[in-house]
Amino acid sequence: MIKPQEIRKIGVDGLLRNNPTFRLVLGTCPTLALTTAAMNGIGMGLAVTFVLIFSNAIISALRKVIPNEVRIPAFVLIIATFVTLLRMLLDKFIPSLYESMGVYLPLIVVNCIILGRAESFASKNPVVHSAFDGLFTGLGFTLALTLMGAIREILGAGAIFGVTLWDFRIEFFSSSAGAFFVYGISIALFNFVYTKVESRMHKRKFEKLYGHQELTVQEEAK
Amino acid sequence: MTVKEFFKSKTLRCIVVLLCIALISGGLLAVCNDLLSVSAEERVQRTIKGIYGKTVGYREIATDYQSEVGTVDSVYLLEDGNYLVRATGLKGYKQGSVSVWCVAYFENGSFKGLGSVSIAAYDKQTLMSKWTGSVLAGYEGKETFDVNVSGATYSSTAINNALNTVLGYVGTLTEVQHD
Amino acid sequence: MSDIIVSASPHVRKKRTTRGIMLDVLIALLPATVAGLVFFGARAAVTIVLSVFGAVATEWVWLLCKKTSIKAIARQFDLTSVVTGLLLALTLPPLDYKYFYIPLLSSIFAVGVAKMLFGGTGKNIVNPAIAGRVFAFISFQSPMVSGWMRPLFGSVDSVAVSSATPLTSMLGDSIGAMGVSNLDLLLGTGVMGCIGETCKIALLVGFVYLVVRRVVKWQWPVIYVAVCGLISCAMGKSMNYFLPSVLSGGLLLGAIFMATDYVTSPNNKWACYVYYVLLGVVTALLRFGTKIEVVSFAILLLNLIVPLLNMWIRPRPFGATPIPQLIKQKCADLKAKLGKKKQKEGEQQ
Repeated sequence: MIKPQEIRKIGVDGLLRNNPTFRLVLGTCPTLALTTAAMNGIGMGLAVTFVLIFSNAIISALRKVIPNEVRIPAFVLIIATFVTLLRMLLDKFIPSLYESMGVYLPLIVVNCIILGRAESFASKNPVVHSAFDGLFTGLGFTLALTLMGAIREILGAGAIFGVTLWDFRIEFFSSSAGAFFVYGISIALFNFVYTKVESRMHKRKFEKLYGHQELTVQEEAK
Repeated sequence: MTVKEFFKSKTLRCIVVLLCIALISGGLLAVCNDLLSVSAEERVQRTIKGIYGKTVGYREIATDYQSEVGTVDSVYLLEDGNYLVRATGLKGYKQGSVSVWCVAYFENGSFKGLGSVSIAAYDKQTLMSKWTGSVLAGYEGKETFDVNVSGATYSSTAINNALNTVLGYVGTLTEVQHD
Repeated sequence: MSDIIVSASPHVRKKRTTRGIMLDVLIALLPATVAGLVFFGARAAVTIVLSVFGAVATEWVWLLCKKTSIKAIARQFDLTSVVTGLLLALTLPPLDYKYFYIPLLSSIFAVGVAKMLFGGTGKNIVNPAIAGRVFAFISFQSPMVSGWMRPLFGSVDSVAVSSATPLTSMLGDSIGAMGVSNLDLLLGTGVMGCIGETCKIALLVGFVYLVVRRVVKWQWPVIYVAVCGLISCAMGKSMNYFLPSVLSGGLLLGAIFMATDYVTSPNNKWACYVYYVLLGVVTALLRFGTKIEVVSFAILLLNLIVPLLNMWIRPRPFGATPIPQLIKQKCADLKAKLGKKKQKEGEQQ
């Protein structure tokens, strides 16, 4: 089946190394449109996660059957099925989220994150791995959207999760110009922190393997 | 390509696979639709719940009232004497329209005013997100509707048209009652 | 080591520095600043001080965060942020004290985002003062659109404090409806508007100074303003619109000080002609289309297409064939081609 360290690797990849919003810069349309409030961000992120898990699983199960020439239409068919299923579920059980997402709910079908993960991971890996990849990529997307939504909501509407904090608002951040601005700054900050942490981890691993003179012979042999 | 070659070729496999996926998904979605669809009745119940916070009985009244700027889509007479009306106003952005739910409050048979306005649907409008709860509360109890939300003039016009149409309809109701 | 400058030829030494040019611009802005203070009093002073402080502080904090020593910052301080701060303040309305955060945040945005984030002086893609003003306009719409103050001087019964300026009333189809004559517009007496834009005489004095000191070429603002006025007349269908449209709103301020910024205007003559004519057209059309003050938006838009203009309209290199000779050459080439074609047809027949 699947080993814990594989799950860990897929998890770290999905959340940090291949974070779809900040590292792969995929699916920017819902990112820019639905981060006006943190709650919208969470809703969109969880919807995409739902579709990702199931579509990744099914596509991975069918990966030996679908011929290479028609893989994109096949993927889109499968993804569209799950998005339609999600629409029906939301309309029945959570109508407020359904209305707040508006036209971006059917747009999940052509969201590049789902198509991208299907193409690059699910069509080449077993079912359970793909499902986990879908889960963690979706969670990475959700976290990114929530973070951006929180920033834009606090600065642009003086509220967080719908709770009004203060009366001061800079409407620039609620507008589309602010969306691009916050997105760009977030990508810059995330990558800055990420490269620093990654280089420090590499340095430590390198030192562990080939490192200081203080190490004994036995540790070096490891 | 001969028929035999066609049957062994890639093309057939592609077509078969796509057809299978489409048919199976279509079948599954049809089943789910039966299970999960939201009927018009349930939508009315949802609106009532949203306004009153509880479900009340209602009776549908047939009507085809229309003015030059809007139509009344459906009217429900609620148990407590108020009318729940769904109306569509025209002349919105890009010639689109906006449909609203509103409650015509009647007290002891006399019309008090319109209130509890909420957006039911819209066509071709792009700035509907401006109509938050506080904006919708501004429509309470007016004599004629000319509320303008800054930056969304056309959509405001459509909503005003819808509500004025409801006022016109309520006028016909009270006329009937007086007679 | 830092005193040795290595550069490519031609090696030309002039006394001009960026700091000197910026000093000239500051001096040119002085009359408009004084006029603003005279007309709008303490509120204008507070706005100007906050804006300049925010601009300079942002630049210094940014450079300190990049681990430059204070001495190095002071050495390379070229007054561009002071000019940005002052220009930004002059385009803001004289806001009430409770809106102190507006000039502060706008100047931080102007210098921090529009200038330092892109690389500092000379590397900004849009005019920083314009960017700050647009930021203020988008973020704080109600104070910016209705925070006008009746000037401390002027025809006493001219106008009541309202949310309209002479520009908005002109666009609403009624020239002179506010009882403000062209002379009033020129002098700025009794005119409501942004701090620096009301007294046009002061702006014109600054313009003359800049032309004399050869910081700005005289034709560019003139072209911009003239084209804008003419198109306004065309839109309003009468020549009466020319003077009021030229003298209302921030047109003169924008044309003289902001559209002529070196970094964000094209770098050769023909591209500049296209740029300033387009500016005039866009300003006039947008003014009539949206009925608000659009000079800042027009300049911002056209700043963004300047790289395109630079790419498409190349300057003629020194030593290239002069244009009349080029035309003669092309005609000769065409004649030769036609001659060959006729020969071929003749042979075939």
